[in-house]
Amino acid sequence: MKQDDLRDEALYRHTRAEELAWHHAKALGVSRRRFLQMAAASAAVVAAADALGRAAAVSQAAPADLVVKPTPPEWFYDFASNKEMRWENMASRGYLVPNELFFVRDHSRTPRIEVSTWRLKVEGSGVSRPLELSYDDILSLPETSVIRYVECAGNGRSFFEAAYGKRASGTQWKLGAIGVAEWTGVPLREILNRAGLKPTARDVMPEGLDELRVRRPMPIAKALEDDTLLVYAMNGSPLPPDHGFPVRVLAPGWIGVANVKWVGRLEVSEQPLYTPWNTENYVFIGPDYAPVPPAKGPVLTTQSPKSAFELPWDGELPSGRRTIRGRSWSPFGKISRVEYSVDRGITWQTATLREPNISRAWVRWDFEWDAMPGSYSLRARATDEQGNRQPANVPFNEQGYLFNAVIGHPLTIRP
Amino acid sequence: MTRRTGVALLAVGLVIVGLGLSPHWGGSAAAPRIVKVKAFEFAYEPKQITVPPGAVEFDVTNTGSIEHTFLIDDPAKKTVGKIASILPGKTEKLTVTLKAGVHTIYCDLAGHREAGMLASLKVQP
Repeated sequence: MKQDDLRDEALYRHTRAEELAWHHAKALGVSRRRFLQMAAASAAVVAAADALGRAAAVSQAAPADLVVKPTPPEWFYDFASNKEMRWENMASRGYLVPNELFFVRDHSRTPRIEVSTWRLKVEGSGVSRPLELSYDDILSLPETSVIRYVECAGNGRSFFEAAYGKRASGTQWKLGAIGVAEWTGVPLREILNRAGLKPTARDVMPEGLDELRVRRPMPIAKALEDDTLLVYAMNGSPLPPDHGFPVRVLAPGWIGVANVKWVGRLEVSEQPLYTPWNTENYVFIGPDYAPVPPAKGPVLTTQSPKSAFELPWDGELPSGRRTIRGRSWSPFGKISRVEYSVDRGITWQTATLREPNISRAWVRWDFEWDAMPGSYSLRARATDEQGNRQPANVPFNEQGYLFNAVIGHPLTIRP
Repeated sequence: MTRRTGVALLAVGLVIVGLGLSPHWGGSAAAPRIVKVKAFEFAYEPKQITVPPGAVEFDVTNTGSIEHTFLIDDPAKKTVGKIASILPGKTEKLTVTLKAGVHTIYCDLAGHREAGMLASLKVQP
């Protein structure tokens, strides 16, 4: 391209944006060919969105695709409809997980929702004025933004096999089924109040418009918390299709499934509500847990404190002095302390915490290490402001939820 | 049973398995019968399976697009065998020793059983 062309400001900005994107992609190890493929895919979506306005935020990807956004192997571990974030890509990334790197957990596949005909129904015995709201109605309601994490209940599931010699059911995630974003939307409370929430209401059940109609009830007390939202924007963009467009629930600190995506209905009930999502799944089943009828075991609500290194899993680094970084999070509050061990848990030191340290989001931490050649198993152990500390082990449960024991992160240091 | 008749019965059993016929002897010492099952959104094929008591190997192929599991519950609803994850295109194997009675095969991923991922497993001599 001739330098003269860049006197056109629009062209200049477009060219510079492409250069910047390529620079970032290259730093992440994305090949030129892969980058061009991804750029073409996102250009098609952008062009369609320009042509059709906000309604076209629904992807133009073929319906046969399980998820809409590009999920190259450099960024994600592939589990079909589930895509695990590769932690090494969060190194030098700042606090938030960009939408394109955010993990995807779809119970079936991402539905393509036409927003012009989409409606949110709010109904049930717990409200006196049932409502039907359009997307524009939702956008006109009081708005708030919070920075919080969303994490799959099964994040860390694969480590049950290492600990107990048997697999728990479901996607064998390592620790990448988590992300922190800025979520913008309407407090769920605002919507429930507009529908005439009765003092006798007990449960709220958001229902997804996906193929399996995900239905995960929560008690009114959780639904009325300040930061429980009906979200329509993520990190400053309309909620992407894979993350729940047009709206999803944000239930901070609670297991991922409570953050129902693609919500089409809120059932508010004076009676406790039961679905497979709180009786057969997202409950603890195992020798250490008794059934809680009609549930097969104690029902999961909050997540558990965890830590992860911003390093490739079982990767290699050259020897020498370096800064090792990671992040820790808890559903119960800010992280107050992170300890680390480079000698398989024999000795522990304290890592340096870096601001911001946001409750129900995460904290970044680091330490200096003079890495000598050899095989390592790095450990990190977080304690939150309530005194909750990651345990040495957790009991087995058949569906592999809430594994938050301290784990060894395998790493080889080359001479 | 003498060692010789045992070996003879085993040989007959293997031939029957090879022909895909239903073996009708009572022992459980034979090589496992092999049952091939397809798992997809949201069903198993076949939906009804009948086997004699004893060792059975299930070769479960995920012919769908998303992840599935494969569990067998006995008539008392106790899980007697499980494949915890089968990714699309993969085949996973499970060998279990079954007693007589009507068992249930299902996928325990959230919503899959409700959507139809159920099969009946009849174990009868």
